[in-house]
Amino acid sequence: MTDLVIAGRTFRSRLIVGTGKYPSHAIMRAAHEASGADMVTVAVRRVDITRKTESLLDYIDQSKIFLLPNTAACYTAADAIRTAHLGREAGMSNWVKLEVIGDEQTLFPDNEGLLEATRVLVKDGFIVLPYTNDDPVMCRKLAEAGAAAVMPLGAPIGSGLGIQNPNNIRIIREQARVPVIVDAGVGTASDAAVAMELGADGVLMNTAIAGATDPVTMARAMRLAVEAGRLAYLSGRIPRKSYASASSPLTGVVGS
Amino acid sequence: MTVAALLERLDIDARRVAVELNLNVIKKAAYQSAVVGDGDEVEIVNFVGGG
Repeated sequence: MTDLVIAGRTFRSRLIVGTGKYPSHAIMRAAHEASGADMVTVAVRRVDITRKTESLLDYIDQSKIFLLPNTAACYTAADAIRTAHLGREAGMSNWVKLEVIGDEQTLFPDNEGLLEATRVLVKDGFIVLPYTNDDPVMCRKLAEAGAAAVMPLGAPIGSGLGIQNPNNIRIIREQARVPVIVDAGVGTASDAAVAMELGADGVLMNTAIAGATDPVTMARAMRLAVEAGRLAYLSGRIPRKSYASASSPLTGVVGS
Repeated sequence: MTVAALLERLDIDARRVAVELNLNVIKKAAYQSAVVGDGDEVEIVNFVGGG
């Protein structure tokens, strides 16, 4: 199975995982290991100067795991651009998972702001991975604007609803000239497998693992699902048919 | 006070944060030379868990 390559950087795993909402940093670290992921997302937030807190980075082995800062909770292109620049200085890498959110309830992206921020950040030298709607036209525009990959949502962030519009994900994959990472909406392993079977180059998830009763075992399930889905995609599935087609010979049946 | 001195006073590991001074991101190499004065707006951010 070939590696995932984004902007010339090679990842052994096609599963990208988050670092939020785990019961503890120790469980997060164990889940990361079980997931096999070699890229994890992080958020950029103000340092709490009123109390000394444990650093998330003490629980991420950066010799094995690449950090992808996000611009979560940014509602304008300007805020996302500002956050991306801060993330770059904090992490000393020019990669960003770009989020420009348009609605508090659904956390759906703001297409206009997302495209604008992508253009600016690409010009500023960033490797931009935009979190976008499952819209093939929007994905095309983002790729044309210089996005290194497109990350269409499977369903709303944290919803666990699974891939709501599989046909769009398939079309996005067929048309995109950049890697397609299904980002958000996965609830359980089969959802991740479906994303990969549709041809996605990778899957990004946080809540599905961090929020599971046993995050470490779920992380392993996701690893296997992503691998299984990828292999199934590469193998060329059989066509769907409405009626049966016998697997055993129709000749030599006893009693005939 | 320099940015480096401010971070030290706040007991913050300079390698793990990013600092913005009046909306301009300060490069780590400039922490010793960048000066924070009265009325300046400072943002200090780090990485936290997120998806």
